Amino acid sequence: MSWQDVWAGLHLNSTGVMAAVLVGLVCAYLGVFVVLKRVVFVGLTLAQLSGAGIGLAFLLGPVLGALGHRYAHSVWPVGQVGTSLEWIAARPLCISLVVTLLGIWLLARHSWSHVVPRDSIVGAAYVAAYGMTLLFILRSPKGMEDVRELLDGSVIATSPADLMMLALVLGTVLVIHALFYKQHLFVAFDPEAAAAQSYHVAGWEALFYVTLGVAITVAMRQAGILLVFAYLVVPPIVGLVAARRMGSVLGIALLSAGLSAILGFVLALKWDLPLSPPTIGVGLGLLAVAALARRRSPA
Amino acid sequence: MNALISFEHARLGYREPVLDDVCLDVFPGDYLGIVGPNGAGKTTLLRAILGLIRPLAGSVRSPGPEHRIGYVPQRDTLDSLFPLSVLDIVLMGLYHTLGPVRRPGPKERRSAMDVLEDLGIGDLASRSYRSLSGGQKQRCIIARALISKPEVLVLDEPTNGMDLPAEHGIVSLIDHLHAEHSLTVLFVSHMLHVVLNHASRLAIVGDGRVVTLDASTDSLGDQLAAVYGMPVDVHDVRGSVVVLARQQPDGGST
Repeated sequence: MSWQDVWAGLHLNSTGVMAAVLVGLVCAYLGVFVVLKRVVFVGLTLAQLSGAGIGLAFLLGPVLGALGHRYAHSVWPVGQVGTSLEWIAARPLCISLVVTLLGIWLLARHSWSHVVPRDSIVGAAYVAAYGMTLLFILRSPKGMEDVRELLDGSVIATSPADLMMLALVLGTVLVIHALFYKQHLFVAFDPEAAAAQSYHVAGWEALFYVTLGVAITVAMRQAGILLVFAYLVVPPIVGLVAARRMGSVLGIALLSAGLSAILGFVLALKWDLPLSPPTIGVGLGLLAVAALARRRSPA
Repeated sequence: MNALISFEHARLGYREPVLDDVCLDVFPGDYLGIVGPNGAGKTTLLRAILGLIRPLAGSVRSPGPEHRIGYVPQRDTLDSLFPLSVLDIVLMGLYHTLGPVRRPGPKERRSAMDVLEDLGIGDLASRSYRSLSGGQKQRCIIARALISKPEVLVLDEPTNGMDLPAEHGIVSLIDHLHAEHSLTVLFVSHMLHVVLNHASRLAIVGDGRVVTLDASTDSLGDQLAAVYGMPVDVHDVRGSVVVLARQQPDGGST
């Protein structure tokens, strides 16, 4: 594809570009905390749980839709249940969100941390989510087509309505985190001292993971597992390697995510590739630049 | 005199009790050293003082908002991965005064600088926390505890893993804060010589109980021997208290 065609493609897919940038910015911001809290594996597991939810929605969607359609015109309350089933069947995001939040609740509740490391519980949850995703998707009517959509998302097919919904949900998450930045920072850095200052540490942790789960679920539907996880990890690492202050780390992570999203889109159009590989490639390129810059700058 | 912190027959623990029948009063101006073997329940007592756990039975009265507690955790629990400067960390001590959404402004920064100057590390304000030595890190988190002008300073193993000059510097600083600023100090440590040479009262934690006594009491060796389960000798060497495990004739220590 010529550069002129790429430029035209960018114009044609402007909602997709905006969706990719939005997902990148929000995931990168949350990712800085995910990396600093040393819970990267939790981020991956939540993305996979969200994927399992979407897989479940692909599998159950036609069944729920048919059931709902059959009873939608029955008398109340059966008719109401039928209408609700039709509504849910048309929105895989709802099932995905329920599965993700259920996963967060189960991960937060486990009480075996004195017997096995927390990481291994998260690992078990990841394996379970991965297995469920495969099972649900291979049994779903569309099969491999769904696998590709789940892995690579459907950013290019983002409609203005999708973009609006994405902006609304991710914008709300970002506003919550910007407003309560100092609470999230203190609780992540020194939970004991925060608790001694009467901070409700469990409440702030719950807010962090629920907003992370919501952001991942919504972003996943549009961008796919691979890209969401990449945004959660690569731009924050670029920020942490390039900068030495929290504000600069966040700024560079956001800049790096935005650049990766736009350049990744350009390269995907240019060489007719799925969006994830060039986006991740740009992110890793920026990481190499950051690492070089750090080696050259005094400590 | 009214006690600032008061335990009345408190049973402390999590699912199972760790300490039972704890009766302890901390008065304004106290310098209380909390000692005991590993796993005896020092941290449980500390968490109860900070109000982080509630008693399973009995009662614990902690300071109200008018007598704030400044808490200095073990510095090893703070993750050096966070890209924070000394000033950033000290400002955390004021977060609870700022309301839910306001960030620290110039006034708070001035207060933080004043505390850092007082502790002799004003020049480190913009330095990264991770680049500091153990003693400098300890001063940084003491500054964070002091910025809210507490009445009680609670320190958890403040000299752990320090070399002699750093240990001396930190203990001298705590002595200075106690004497000059009339701070009530609660000092948890497993390093007996540090506590015995500076605290005026001791809370010895062991065997599920807390025993309080004067730091200069004659029966100190017996009390420590009972808690540590081995003969202990307490010596005075040029005005300093030294605690040694009693050597047995065969060269072993019991």
